[in-house]
Amino acid sequence: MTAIGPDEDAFLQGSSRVFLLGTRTDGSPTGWPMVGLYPGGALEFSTYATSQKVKDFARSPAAACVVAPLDDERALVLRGSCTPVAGQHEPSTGGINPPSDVRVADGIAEGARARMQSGKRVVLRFAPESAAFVPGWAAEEPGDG
Amino acid sequence: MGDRPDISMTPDEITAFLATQHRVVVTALDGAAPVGTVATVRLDGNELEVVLRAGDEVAALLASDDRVCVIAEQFPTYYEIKAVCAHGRARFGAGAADPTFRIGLDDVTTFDFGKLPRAGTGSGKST
Repeated sequence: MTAIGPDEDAFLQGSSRVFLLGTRTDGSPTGWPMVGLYPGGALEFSTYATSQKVKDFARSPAAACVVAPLDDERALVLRGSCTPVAGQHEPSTGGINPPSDVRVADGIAEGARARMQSGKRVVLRFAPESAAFVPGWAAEEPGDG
Repeated sequence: MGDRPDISMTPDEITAFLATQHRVVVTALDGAAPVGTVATVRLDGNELEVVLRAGDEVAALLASDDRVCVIAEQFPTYYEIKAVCAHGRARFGAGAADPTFRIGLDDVTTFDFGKLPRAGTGSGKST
């Protein structure tokens, strides 16, 4: 495991396909495929304030992320903590333009922004404490080569 | 839940989707903290067969605590986004070249954005 360096930083800026991982009430592992936004230093996720993941991370902030672009031979595994951000309803990057690797239908981004402004959505912030690359979505399968 | 429509998948939809998937994210526990990795997957009947890479730390973690979550996801376009998260216990077999485990599909959470209304309440669009 290494701290986030320039390579990890560039990788995070180029992909928003993130699997956010946490624990359920019984302590077992769980996860959610999410759009993760990277304003630098942390990952941010917009979600409904009433969602299960908000309750789970309020109870236990222990978290991990797997950043896994579909077309990349690498994925980035992060360990850290994730907490709901009090009073923040929009990601720090703003809620208007989706990341370039997310194919969003017409009107969806505007609808999401309206729900952010209404307070129905909150921001979860993941603070990484360590990072490591692993073979990703487009890597050869085990046993190949 | 209020204005949020039910976009979960039926058992038949789950198996039809998983039959098309070849990569998953696997989540295990390091003590009380989650850890993830990328693995290869194959649907075999009503179970997933998951192959981890040799030396992947998640295999060692699952050997000491077999609680696991396996996540399959696709997002070709917004209304084609689907995901299945299978929770359970990893059952490792013997004889495979790489660490290989199986997990059932009796504790899953799912979503299929194709079931979202295209307009009005719950569509995700401004009205």
